[in-house]
Amino acid sequence: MILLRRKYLFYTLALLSGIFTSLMVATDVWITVRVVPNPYVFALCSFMVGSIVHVLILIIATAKMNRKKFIGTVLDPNFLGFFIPKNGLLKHLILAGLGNAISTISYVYVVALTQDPSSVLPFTNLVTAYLIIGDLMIEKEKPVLIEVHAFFMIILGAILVSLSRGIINLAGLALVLGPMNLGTFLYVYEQKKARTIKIRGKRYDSINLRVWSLLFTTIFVIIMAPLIVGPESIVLSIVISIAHFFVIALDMLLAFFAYVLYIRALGMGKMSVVNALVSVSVVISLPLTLILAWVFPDVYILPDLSGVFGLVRIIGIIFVFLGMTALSFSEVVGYILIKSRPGSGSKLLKKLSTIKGVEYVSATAGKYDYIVRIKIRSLGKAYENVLQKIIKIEEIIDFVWISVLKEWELV
Amino acid sequence: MDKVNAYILINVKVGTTAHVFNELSKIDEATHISLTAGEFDIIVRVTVNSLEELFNLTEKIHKIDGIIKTVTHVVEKELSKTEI
Repeated sequence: MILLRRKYLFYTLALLSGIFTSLMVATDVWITVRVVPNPYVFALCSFMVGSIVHVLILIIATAKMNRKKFIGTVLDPNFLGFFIPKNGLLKHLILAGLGNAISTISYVYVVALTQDPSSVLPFTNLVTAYLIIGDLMIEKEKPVLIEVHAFFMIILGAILVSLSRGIINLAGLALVLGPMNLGTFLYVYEQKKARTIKIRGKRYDSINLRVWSLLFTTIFVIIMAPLIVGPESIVLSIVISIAHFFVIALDMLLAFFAYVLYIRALGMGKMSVVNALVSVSVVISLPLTLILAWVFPDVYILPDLSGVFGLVRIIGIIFVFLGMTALSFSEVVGYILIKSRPGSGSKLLKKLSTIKGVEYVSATAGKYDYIVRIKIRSLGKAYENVLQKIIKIEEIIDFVWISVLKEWELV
Repeated sequence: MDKVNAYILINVKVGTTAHVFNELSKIDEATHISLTAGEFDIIVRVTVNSLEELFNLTEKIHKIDGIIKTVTHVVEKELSKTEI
């Protein structure tokens, strides 16, 4: 068992996801240059092979390590084994798959439409701004000013790092800002919703979530792509998938790790924060592309680091790191231990749960009747948003505030 | 069968927090360990299979050097942020 500081775990998951994303992007480039130049066929091949790879991973993860634990618990302690989604969970996974398919097809369309897609693709980082609105919808709480500053620093930094000399194609830009980013938004939003559903007392695990959302994405991509490039693309994709199975499988294996870590981070923090942290992949991609362009000059293009462009990229990297540091300012975490009047029951449970900053409320048997966990940006906010509300609840006889100084969580 | 979740609120002797934390981190059933300021010094959240397992676990915790007092609270019902 490993116990990690909760804050470090969150940042480690999001940043590791960024590293896997940059490795995946490098493999994508290799495949599109050397194996499948047609972006539509590449998307179809990725999802077809990806479905096989992900189902195999799910089978391996469901094997038992010892009598008690599944192998998958190494990657996600919540892993429950093979689990067929139903009802609300199924709806979230289908919508996540639809969002991912819309985003993928739009990406492919942008690559096919614009001569230099690298001039518009950096604007995919703006999806974080869409996610801030999503966080508002889920958490019903405005992001604090420092969070908004940090988001924009990271977004602008990521755009600066990945800028190219190409002329911005307006149709391509509209596609990125419209269906592509909206598709990504739907994908992230529905994954967050699915991740927070509890099954047998635990959050729905990231491995099942990734596998099922990918399977639904594959179905939607297989329906959508032939409408644009014709049904023969399916046959061609099957042939290429068989011929180049292993290299595409490696790409999808990297995608699996990138997304599982991303989904785990999503379960711990705001969507916009996770996404902003994963944007670090553009910074990691820079040295990675430099090395790859040196080793494989025929596949990778050397990033322009001369003159003003070099300076702009350095400014971008500084922005990304400044933004991340600002985001990592610690939140105030605390517990409130409550004694209540007899018979207050579920009414009090509901009242407590509507208070801003409350993560969860546990009705307990013991000296105290309720243990409330609070996570909020500052002690001042804890006073205004939480304590001021608590003292007004008449069912509460007494309460004790306990501040968390450091915290470890099971990894 | 549903798992049993519980909070174990702990008071420790001055200067033994690090030692107690190290011992607590060896417990497989601990899902969160928080070092706190206030009425208690450490709050541990555990997940076990049964109340009997919880009893055995608290017995084990009582044997850790430096612990003065523990108060165990079994979770009967819980609402998380997403269900709210």
